[in-house]
Amino acid sequence: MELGLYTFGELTPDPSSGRAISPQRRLRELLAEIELADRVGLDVFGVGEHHRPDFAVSAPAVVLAAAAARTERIRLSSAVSVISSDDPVRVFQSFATLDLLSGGRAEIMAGRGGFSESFPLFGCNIDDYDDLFTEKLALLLELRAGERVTWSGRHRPAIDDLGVYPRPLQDPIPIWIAGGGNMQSTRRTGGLGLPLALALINTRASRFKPIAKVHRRAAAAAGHPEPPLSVNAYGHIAESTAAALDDSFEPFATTVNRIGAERGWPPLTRADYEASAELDGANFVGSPEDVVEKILYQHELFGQRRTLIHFAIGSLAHDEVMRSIELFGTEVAPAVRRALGPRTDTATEQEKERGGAG
Amino acid sequence: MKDRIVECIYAAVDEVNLDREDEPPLEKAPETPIYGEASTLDSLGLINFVVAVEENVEGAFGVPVVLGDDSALGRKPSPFDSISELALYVEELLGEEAGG
Repeated sequence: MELGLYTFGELTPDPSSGRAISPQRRLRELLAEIELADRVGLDVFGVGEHHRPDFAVSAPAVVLAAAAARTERIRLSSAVSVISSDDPVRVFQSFATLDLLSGGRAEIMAGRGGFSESFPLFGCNIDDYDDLFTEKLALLLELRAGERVTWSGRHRPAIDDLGVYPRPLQDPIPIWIAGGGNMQSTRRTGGLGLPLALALINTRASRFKPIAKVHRRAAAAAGHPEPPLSVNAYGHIAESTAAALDDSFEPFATTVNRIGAERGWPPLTRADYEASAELDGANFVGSPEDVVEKILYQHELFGQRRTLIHFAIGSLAHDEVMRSIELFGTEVAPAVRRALGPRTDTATEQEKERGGAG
Repeated sequence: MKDRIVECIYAAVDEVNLDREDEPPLEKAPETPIYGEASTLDSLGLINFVVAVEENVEGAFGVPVVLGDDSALGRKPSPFDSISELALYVEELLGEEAGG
């Protein structure tokens, strides 16, 4: 199994001063986090895209390009690229460039976007939410499939036999689809033979088990080999369960409750948070032993080929995030690999399985 | 055939109810709504239910059916309005399979 982490690059208050962290400082810290993840042998680092004042990253490929120059082995992914409101040609070109700069370590995680800000910003109508994603994903897959493209759709000017450059080093550059448990989109992802990055949010992990089944069955029904599944969820690792909960609850609750207030969610309680850290809870919060146990438990549920942990939600101090990454790489990852055998490189697998879409 | 289809659906109701510790069980009755405002299933509960029905139908009839795709979810009346509507839809799909 591949193990890694992802972040949205939040700009929440510095816990020591109460003042918001500057974007410059957050990005500097983020690059240090990616470097450490590479150094301790983690497999993947993902960076999200947001267009709000509380996040430092709206251009993941730029951040990942800086990380590419400082890292050797770790794979560099968006988490996610909001292709619904972006131009797939520019997304493809940016990640193809990242792939060349990083020596073939780039990946695109394509998503619909969990926030609405990017739609009016880029002239897209949020009422076309599903249609935008479906159409732009189709174009992205065509761009990946060949360098000259002829394409037309409703939401972007047509392309008439034009070349799109540079071409990435990897053929094909991995494209994952981010999903949260919607049946139709999971079926479409499986039907296209594409890997699914499944976000476990707000409920017990075991409730997501049918999603993995729907994804696999849709791929099989369409004649594709079984596409990889990634399980993605929030986490924080500390020396003990109690320390992990104590360190992370306030930052997590502050952020979740701020976003929840916009969406009408009830406030998160400490009891909810502790439940989410239990074995069938979605979050990877605990000691290294807790997190190993949970990854192995989820592997029994889902058979996933990749687990990505969201480090960190809220204003967790940078040194605590660094310690968490260190524990993930030096204690959790070796134990998971001992239990499950050598890691499966999903990018190499995809190259072998070129029967998939694109 | 209809009775066997309903058995498959009721077996799926039993499976889904096992997962509903804190909520009232889904009733095994023809008029029970499966999805929408009148139903007590959330989106993950619906997926759980649909996958269970698909597996039960395949086990009973030896024919794979897909119940949660765009054509099912876009259909009016929705197959998920009630257990009886779903049974009719499954019967139709099995008839199509048998007819080639």
